[in-house]
Parts: sequence; C-alpha cells; structure tokens
Amino acid sequence: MLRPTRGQRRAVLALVLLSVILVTLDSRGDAFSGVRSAAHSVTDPAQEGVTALTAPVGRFFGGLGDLGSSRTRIETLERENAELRRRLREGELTGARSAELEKLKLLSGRGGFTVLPATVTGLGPSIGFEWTVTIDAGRRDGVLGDATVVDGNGLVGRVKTVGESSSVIVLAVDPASAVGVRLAGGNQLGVAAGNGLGPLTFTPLDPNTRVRVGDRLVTGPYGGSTYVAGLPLGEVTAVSGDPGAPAREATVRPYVSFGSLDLVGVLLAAPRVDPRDRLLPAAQRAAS
Amino acid sequence: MRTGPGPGVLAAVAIVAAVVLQAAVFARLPLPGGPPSLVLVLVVAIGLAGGANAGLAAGFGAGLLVDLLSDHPVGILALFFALAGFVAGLLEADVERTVLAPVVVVALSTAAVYLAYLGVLGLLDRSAADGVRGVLGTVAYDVVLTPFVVPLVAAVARRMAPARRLP
Repeated sequence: MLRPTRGQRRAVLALVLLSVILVTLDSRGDAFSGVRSAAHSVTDPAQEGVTALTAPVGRFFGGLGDLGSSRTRIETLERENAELRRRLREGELTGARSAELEKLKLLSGRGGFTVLPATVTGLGPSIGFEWTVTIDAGRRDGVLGDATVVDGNGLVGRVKTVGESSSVIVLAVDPASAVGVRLAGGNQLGVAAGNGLGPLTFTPLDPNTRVRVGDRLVTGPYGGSTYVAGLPLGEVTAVSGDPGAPAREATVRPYVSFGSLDLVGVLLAAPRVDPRDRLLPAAQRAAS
Repeated sequence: MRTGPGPGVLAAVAIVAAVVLQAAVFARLPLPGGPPSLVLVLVVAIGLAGGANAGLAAGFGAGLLVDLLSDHPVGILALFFALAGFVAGLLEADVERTVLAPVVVVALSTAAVYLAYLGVLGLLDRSAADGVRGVLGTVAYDVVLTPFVVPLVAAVARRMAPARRLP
C-alpha cells in the first residue's frame, strides 16, 4: 500500500470538509434544489432513453421474480378448471343419462319387462375379437347368463359372462352374433348378423320374402333365440340382390348406436307374451 | 502525444453513463437486497487503475452527482465515494497483478461506504429503504460486477498512459 503524499492528504481533508459543509447546508434547507434540478435535467433524458430500451428486459426479470407465484397460480387455476370441466361434463352426462333412463323405462313399461339399469364401464372388443362391453352389474344384482340387454332404443346384446359385480355383454353387432328377427308388421322371420360397427345384415328365411327399404325389424323367436322377442333392432336401409334371386340380403341400420353405449338395461324378466310391434318407436310406427 | 479525449474527460463520461445506467437499469432490477452500485464499482476501478488522485476526484464527482440525483443530503456519497476511490488508489500497486484483490477491495469498499452512508442517515434522523440487509445484497452484486468493470477500466487506463505500466 502506498503512503499518501502530503498533497493527497490535504486534498482528502479538503474534500471531507467540503462534504461535511455540503451535507450540513443541504440538511438545513434546500440549498441545492437548483443544482439538483439541473442535474436531473441532464441525466433524466438519458435515463428515459435507457429505460425505454431496457424496460422489456426489466419486465422480463420482474416476471422472473414472479415466476414462482405465477406458476402456483397457474396450477391452481388449472386444477379449478379441470374440476369445473368435470362437473360440467357430469352435469351433461346426468342430463343425457336421465333422458336415456326415461327411454329405457318407457321401453320396459311398454313391454312389461323387469329391467335392471346398468352403466357401460368398458367398451370395445376387449375379449378376444368379439364386440363386447362391460357393465357394472353382475350376479350380485341378479344378472343371469344369456340375459337380453337393451337400451332405450332397442336391442343391445346379451350377457355372455356374469361376474360378481360386472358382466360382459356380446353386442348384437358382433360378427359372430346372429339375432333371430321378424319383420315388423308381419310374420316373416330371418337372421340379422353383426358386422362390427357397420350395419347389420338381414337374411330372410323365406327367399320369397319381400324386403323393402324402411322395413323395421324386431327380435323374433327364430332358432330358439336367447333374445327376448319383440325388441326393436333396426331399419332396413338397402336391399341387395335381384328381385328374383333367392335369399336376398338387406342392410339394417340398428336403432341402438353401439359406438356410444352408456346406460343399458338388463332384462331380468319378460312376459311370456310376445309384445309384437308395440316396442317400436311411436313416430316410426305411425309412419309405416 | 495523446490523441482523443483525455483520461479525465473519459472518466467523467464513464461516470455519467454509469449514473444513468444505475438509475435506469441497476436500481430497477428486482433483486433481493439492495441494488448493485455500478457507480461505486466504477469509482473503485478508476482508483485501482489510475491511482489515488484519480480515485479521489472520480469518487467525489460521481458521489456528488448521485447525491444530487437522490433524496438524501448532498455530500454524503461524495465524501464516501471519494474516500473509497482514494483508498483504492493507494492499494493500486498491491492489487495490480491479482484477480481476487479487486473483488476484495470492491466488497470492502461497498460495505464500508454503504454502512457509513446508513450511519450518517441515521445521525440525520433519516432511514434508507433497505437498511443494513440491503447492504449485503449490494456488496454481493458489486462483487459480481467487479470482473466486468475493473479489467475494462484497467485496459482503458493502460491505453491512455502506457508509460505508467512499464517498469
């Protein structure tokens, strides 16, 4: 360390004294207001320019400071959002389900069935390659094997395996499934075979049966069918083959939308009397 | 045969620029503790590079400017900045060839200057926003600024007066 020279010591002493005088003067009154404003008038424009340039950077760093709280806030809002969305969906589902349940009650009331409502919990070809769904009702609820399953619109399928509290249902659209059917308004019988999610294929037993577009099918007694008779199945949308050819095939659009099953009913008991065509949708029955 | 502005003019420009940057940028950084004091680091750097006289003059000028732009009585920082620059200038020879020494000098100067500043404000029945806790932050940030400011000032000083550095 250098030793300060005599001159330097004097300079320091002078500046210390000057500073003390300045401080004393300034803390007694505002002796320097003019100088202060002059200094400000010099530096403020430059300062404003720099601030204009750096304000975005400053905001960025300010944002960094808030990052933690912003993140927690965002997380809270996201959670709330998800919760509200879930409630909304539940509300919609409840509305949709109550409508479905209403239709199911109507169907079972008209047919005189005893229906156990159940919810589809699993959908899709889950077991092997069969088109099945899983429902949340099982042996505990009184579900029996081979019981017919419907929803408000008509036939869904039949119970394949019964578990303690869930059951697997083979859908009527399962490619291996064949439903014995009857043309509504007559006694012509046939078989409706599933094609996955595509339309069903109806093959009449009697090759001379006249099948027209718009004809409706209900489950029939064919082949000792395990299905309860009289359940609406679908409507013919196209007829193939030449009019004279035997065993014409018809394409049938099912009433039930198998892609969006939710509330179904397991038929626990059915009257011995075939409800015939009474279960078909009212408007369509009137139209035919 | 020097060309361009002299070291005094350069130092004055640097100080004004530092004061502006300090007010516009460094004082606004949302850092915990007090803001970094670019001006003080510059004063210490000038003292280390240019000697005690340069440090004294630069410190007094810079402190006076900061005083005038602040709310506290004029003269406080002028005095302490001048002393800091002066002491740094006396340490010039010791500090020259080491890397850590400027950092230590800056840290001690900052702590001493701002504690003394707080002390004077206390004597005048005033208080500073951040208090003693803020001084810690300022010291830390000034230490971070040191490796950028001190070598730069030293390089400029070498170019201004190359003869001083030769043995």
